[in-house]
Amino acid sequence: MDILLDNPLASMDGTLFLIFYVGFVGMTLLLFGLIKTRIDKTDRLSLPPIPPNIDPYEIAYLRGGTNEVARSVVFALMQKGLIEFKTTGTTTQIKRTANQSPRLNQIEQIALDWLKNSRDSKDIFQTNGLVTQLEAYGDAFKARLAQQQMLVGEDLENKLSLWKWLAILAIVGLGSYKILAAFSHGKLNVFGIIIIAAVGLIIAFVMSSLPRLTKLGTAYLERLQLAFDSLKNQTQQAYMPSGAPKVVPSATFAGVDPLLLSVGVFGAGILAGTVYSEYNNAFSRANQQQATSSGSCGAGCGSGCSSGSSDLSGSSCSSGSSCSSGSSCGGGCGGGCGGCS
Amino acid sequence: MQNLPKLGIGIGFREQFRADLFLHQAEIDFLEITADHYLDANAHKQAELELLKEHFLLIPHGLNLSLGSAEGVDEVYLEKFAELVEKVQPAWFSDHICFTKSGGVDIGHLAPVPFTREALEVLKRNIRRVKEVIKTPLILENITYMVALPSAEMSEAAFVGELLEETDCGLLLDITNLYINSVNHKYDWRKYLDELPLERVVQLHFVGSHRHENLLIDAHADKTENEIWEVFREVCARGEIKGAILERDERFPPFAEILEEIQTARNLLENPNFAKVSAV
Repeated sequence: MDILLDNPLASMDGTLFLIFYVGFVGMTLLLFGLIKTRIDKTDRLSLPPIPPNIDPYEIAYLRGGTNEVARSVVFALMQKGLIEFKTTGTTTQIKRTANQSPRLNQIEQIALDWLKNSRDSKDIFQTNGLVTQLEAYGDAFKARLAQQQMLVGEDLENKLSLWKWLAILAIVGLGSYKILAAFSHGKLNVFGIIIIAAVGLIIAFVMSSLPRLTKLGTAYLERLQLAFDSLKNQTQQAYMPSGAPKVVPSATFAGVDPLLLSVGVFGAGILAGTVYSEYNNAFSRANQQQATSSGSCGAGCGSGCSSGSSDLSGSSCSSGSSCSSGSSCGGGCGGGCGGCS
Repeated sequence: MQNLPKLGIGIGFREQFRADLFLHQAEIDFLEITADHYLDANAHKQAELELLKEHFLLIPHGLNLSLGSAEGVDEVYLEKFAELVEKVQPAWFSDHICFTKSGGVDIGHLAPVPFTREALEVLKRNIRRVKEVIKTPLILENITYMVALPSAEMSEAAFVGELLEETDCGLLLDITNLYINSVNHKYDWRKYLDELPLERVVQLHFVGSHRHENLLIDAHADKTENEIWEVFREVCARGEIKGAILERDERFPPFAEILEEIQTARNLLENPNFAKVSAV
C-alpha cells in the first residue's frame, strides 16, 4: 500500500508535477485527436458516380440537413413565382401570390400548402414549421445517404465516445491520484491540478464532436461542387440585376432546374447580388432574429454564409471545400448546421 | 485500326460546359481532353481529371508533341504525355501533323509541314519515337494552313496517306479543316478523300467554319454548317468511323444546341443516309 502513495510520481514536487501533468494532458488530447481523424475510414471507399437525374433537394440535405431542404424548396417556389417576400421593418413575410401553381413535385406541394397563409420567414424553422413538415423527406434522404456511408452515424459516434471517455479517465485518473497523494502528504494546494484537469476535460468534450458528414460525404459534396462549378457561375451571371424586368426563366435541362441545382449544391449564398437577393436577405434576417430570440439553430445555414460572398466567385462558403466539411466556417454553413434538423 | 472500339459521338471537353456534361451523361459517348491541360496539373485539374475519368471515356488530344520538328520530340513532354495516357487508359490518343517547336522555341501555334520527302522522314522518325514510349495507338490530325508551301513534292492527301501507311497510325480527320482548306485553296474535298486510305480514319473532328473576309478559318466558334455536314456524311458513308468529336471553344451556345449537333452527328454516323444534309 505504501508504494501507492510513496513513489516518485506521488512525491513529485508540485511545480514539476504540474509541468508533467500539462504534458500528459496535452499528449492524451493529441492522441485522442489523432484517433478522431482516423476513426472515419470512409475515405477508403470509392466515391459514387454523379447521377444524371440528380435531386437538388437530396444534395441540399447532404449539405445541411432538412433546414437546407426547406430553404431550397422555398427558393424553388419563389423562383416559380408562387410566393413572394415582403419585408416590414425587421421581419419578412412570405406570401402566396395569385399565380396558378404549375406541376409541382410532392415536396414543393407540401411547402406550398404550408405557405397557404402568410408566414414569417423565421417560422420555417420553428416548431410545426416547414422543417417539421418536411421531416419525412429529410428522414428518407438521411436513410439513403447513411446507407452510402456519407453521414456520420451512431457507430462512429459510439466509437469516438469510447475513446473520449478513455481520455477523460486518463486525465481525471492521474489528477485524482495526485490530489489523493498530496492530501496524504498533508499538502492541500491542488488548485493547479484541478484547473489543468478542467481545461483538459473541456477540450476533450469539444473535440469529441464529429462533423455531420463522413470523409466520403465531404468528398462527394466537393465532387458535386467541382462538377457543377460552371453552373453556379452561369446561373449567377444570368440573374444579375439589370434594367430589364425580372424574368423567371422556365427552362430546365435534364429535368433539373439549373439555378435550383446551384442552390442545392452551393447554398443560397450564391444568390447574393442576383435578382433573388431578397430571398437571401430574408433568411439572413431570420437568422439574426433566431440568434437573438431562441438561440436555436435553424435559420443559420446558407444565408449566413452568403454575407461574404457577393462576388461572382462565391468565394466564402459556396466555393466548397472548406465549408462543406463543416470545419473552417465555424459550423455556420455546409455540414455544420445539419445537426439541428 | 479496325480493332479499335467504336466510341460514338462526343465533345471536346471545356470547363464552360462541365456542369452540362454531368446532366447529360447519357447523350455524350466520350470526351476528348486537351492533354496539355493535365500534363503539369495542379490539384484542381487533377481532381477534374479524376472526376471526368470516372464518368466518361476519355481520349487525350495533344497540342505540342510537335511531330514535325526536325530536332526531334521533346522527351520531357513525351514522358508527361505517356504518364497521362497511362492514367487515362484511352482507346487511342492523338496529335497533329504539324510542328509547334523550332530550335527548342515554342512557336505558339500549329504550323504546317511542307509536303516533302524530307518532312515525311522527320515525321516518321518522331512518330517512331512516340510509339516506342507510348504503346497506345496514335492517330494524327490534319490541320488548316493559310499558305500552301511552294516546295511541296506531293499533294497533302498523298503525304498524309503515306505517313499513315508507313507509321501504322490512324487518322483523326478534321472534316472542318478539310473543308476550310478545300475552300481556301480551291480544291475538291471529295478528291482529297479519294486519295486517302480511308480505312485508317479512326476519328473525326467537326465544328462550323468561320468566314473572315475571303477566307474560312477554323475558329471553333460556329455551328456546324450544311457543307460540313455533307463532308461528315460522305466520310461516314465511305468508311467505318470509330468516333467523332464536336470541337467548340468560343461563343458557346446553349447546351441544347450542342446536343442537337451531337445528335445529328450520331444519326449520320449510324446511318449516313439518315437525312438530306440540307434538312439538318
